[in-house]
Amino acid sequence: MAKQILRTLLVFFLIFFPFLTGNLIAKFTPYKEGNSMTSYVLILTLVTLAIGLILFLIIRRYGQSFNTPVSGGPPSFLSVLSLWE
Amino acid sequence: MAAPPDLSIVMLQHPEREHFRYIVLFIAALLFGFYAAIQFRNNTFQLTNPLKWIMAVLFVLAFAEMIWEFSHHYLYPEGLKKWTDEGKNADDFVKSYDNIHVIIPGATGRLIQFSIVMWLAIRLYQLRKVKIWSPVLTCLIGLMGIISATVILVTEMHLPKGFEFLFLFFIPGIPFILLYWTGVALLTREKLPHN
Repeated sequence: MAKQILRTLLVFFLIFFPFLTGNLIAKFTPYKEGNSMTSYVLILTLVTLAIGLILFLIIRRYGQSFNTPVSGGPPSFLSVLSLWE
Repeated sequence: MAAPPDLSIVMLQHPEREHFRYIVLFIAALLFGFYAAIQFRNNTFQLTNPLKWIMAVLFVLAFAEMIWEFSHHYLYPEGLKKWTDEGKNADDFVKSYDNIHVIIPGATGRLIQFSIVMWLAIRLYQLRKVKIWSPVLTCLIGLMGIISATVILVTEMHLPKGFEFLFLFFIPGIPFILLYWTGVALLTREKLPHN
């Protein structure tokens, strides 16, 4: 039961994750006076690499417990990147 | 970029902003193409001919439209510069650049993209790879996308007053958020006893 609740909370968190992270990244938008394009590109790259790394480690550690072959999830999951364009 | 593109002459001071926006979308399109290629190679959707080939062709069309659309908009600053160098009014450029010959394939592409993303979520649910929330959420937003693309196609981008919100469902990132949610659904589905 606790596992089920945790999983549901995780799903909710992941559904809203792009918007939550997008709000944080928005502070660095180059459209705002004083912000540089380089910093924005760097921050976006670091965030994306961090998400990719976390995903990679989770799949490496817990790959066997996924219901579905994991090849499909990550590319689809990583399309989140486009939401911060 | 946390802001819509500035399509005015000011864009020419920072063309790199729009270039970066579309580079990110290119990467997302490549991830989509990569995802589709893996699935069709492994026959994850468990389709038989001719449906398998029909879906593969639709995925290729959706991918091709993305690449074409992102290339077209990537080159917007260069087009605007050429336009103003010819002494034309910068405010008239957007109508010339995104004319009916761009709107028709753009809207058609969006119709295909939303349709296949919805089909994908439903198919994965049928195969018990995602939970019901995934196709429900995808179909709700996907239907809005289809309505938006149809209205834009019919009105040639002159949305009637009060319907401007439909533009929100026409932005290129929307099919990607649906794919992201499908990814979340795939990765958070608990292992079933028979798998």
